[in-house]
Amino acid sequence: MSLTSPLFFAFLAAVVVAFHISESVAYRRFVLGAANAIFIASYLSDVTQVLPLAAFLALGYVCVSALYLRQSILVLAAGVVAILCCYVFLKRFSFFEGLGQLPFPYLTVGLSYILFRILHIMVDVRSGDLVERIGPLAFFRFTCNFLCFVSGPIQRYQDFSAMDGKAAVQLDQSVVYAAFSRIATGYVKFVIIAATADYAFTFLSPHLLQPTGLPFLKLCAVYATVASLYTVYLYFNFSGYMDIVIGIGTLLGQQLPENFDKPFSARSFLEFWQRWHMTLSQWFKLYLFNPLVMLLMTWLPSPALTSYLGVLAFFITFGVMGVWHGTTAVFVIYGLLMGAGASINKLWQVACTGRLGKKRYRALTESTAYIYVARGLTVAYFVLALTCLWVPELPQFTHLFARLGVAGVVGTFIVVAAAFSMAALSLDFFQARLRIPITLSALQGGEITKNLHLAGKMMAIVAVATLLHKAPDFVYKAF
Amino acid sequence: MEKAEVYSKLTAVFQDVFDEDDLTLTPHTTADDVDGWDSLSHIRLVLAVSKAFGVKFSASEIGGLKNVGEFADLIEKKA
Repeated sequence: MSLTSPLFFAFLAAVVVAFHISESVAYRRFVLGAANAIFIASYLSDVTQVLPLAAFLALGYVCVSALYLRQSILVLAAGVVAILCCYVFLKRFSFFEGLGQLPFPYLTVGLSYILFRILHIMVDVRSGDLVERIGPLAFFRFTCNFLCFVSGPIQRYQDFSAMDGKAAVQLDQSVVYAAFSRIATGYVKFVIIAATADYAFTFLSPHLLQPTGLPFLKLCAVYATVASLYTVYLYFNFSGYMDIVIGIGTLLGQQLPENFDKPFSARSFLEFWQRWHMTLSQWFKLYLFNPLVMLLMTWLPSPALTSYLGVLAFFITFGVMGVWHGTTAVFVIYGLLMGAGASINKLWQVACTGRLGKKRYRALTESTAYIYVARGLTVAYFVLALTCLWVPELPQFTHLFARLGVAGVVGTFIVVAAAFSMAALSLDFFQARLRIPITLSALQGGEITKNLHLAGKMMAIVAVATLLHKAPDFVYKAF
Repeated sequence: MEKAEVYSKLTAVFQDVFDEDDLTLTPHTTADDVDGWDSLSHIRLVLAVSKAFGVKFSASEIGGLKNVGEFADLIEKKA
């Protein structure tokens, strides 16, 4: 079901109405479970297509049940290996083509996120963090929650279970308005900003990949533009999607976790990852990075080695995250680039603290020039590394970078960093000085302004959707 | 274990890990208040606390700590 299809709106309206017919917990859970099943069914043209997903869920449930019986590290390890093997096989990773594949087409949407949910339950059951016994229906409602099915946010079972059909939902005026406003904002991002950026991106990017190409300077300029457009597209498409599902969630008694917190205001690459796709990075931090660092530090306890162990852990964590994003070799490069970014950032912090001392380093990081230069470098690094997501085939990827060369890449990086720094600086400068007249701010909280604002968003969505003649798809569905 | 005892032992661990002899802790102390308390030194801190108090922490406990108060409560519960 596409987010912009009339079918989706009809489905949503039906689910929200059905949910509120009764306050019975059993009834509401039935509605949520049925909604998930219908949502998944909308992706199918034949019932066999859902069998691999069903088998994956069944395997997950068996592993979780085994851990309830015996909370041993061996059961956990065997379960994790089984789940990962099944996942890698079903996702048809190009590195494991020799494994063969199922002889029929099947649904892979949602698998990546179901993987995280199942692994999290297993680890938490084993450590005693999750003592509540999960029934098969609750397991289905959690792992296949239609709001988060396609691309998260990745919720923890403990948080889901606290609301699962039993949270009191008062649909008063302010809650409903807030939900609709959030959903409309999501569609503005999704249908207007992301779709426009995608339109320009699709128009310009073929110029980069054609064999007899542009002159060098023009190539760099087009590359900088295309890479920036893709980043705008990715962010607004993904965060718009999140606004939509989080907004709908509040109408169904579900408080879903936020996935973005102004990522482009990050002052370092490490901070960027605390603000971008937060539920994913939080998951990796909890279940891979932290245990890995702990293991490394137990083996090599010298405090002097801390940052080097961190570098190793960053490369492994981001490497795994890269491979999770896609099934070709370019995604390994993506992971390594992210690992390199985090490592350079960490080593820079350590070097500066060593040379300047903690207090002077902190003072330096709070100076205006440092802030905007750091913001520019952070965003430029991310923008260029994202190339891996829009050129996912290795031959095209190497071709593009062979033509750009070191000079082209460094030049583009500097231009994007400088452009972003200047733009951020001017934006913050004007925002700080722009004063809304008193009469306007008095109007701001009023019903008329509030609803005009909402209606304006709706009108803009309709206008742009008609102009572009194209219903955008959700970019992260592919990962 | 008494709360005061937890805090005095915890302060010693913090001073050792962050190499700052005049570091003092309150329940409201967070990572922002201590120079160098980042995701890496947090793990070193957790390992040092585990050793000092003879307790173990789970993945979500390690990742979910908001401030020193929560850390001390958790230790008090486990030790």
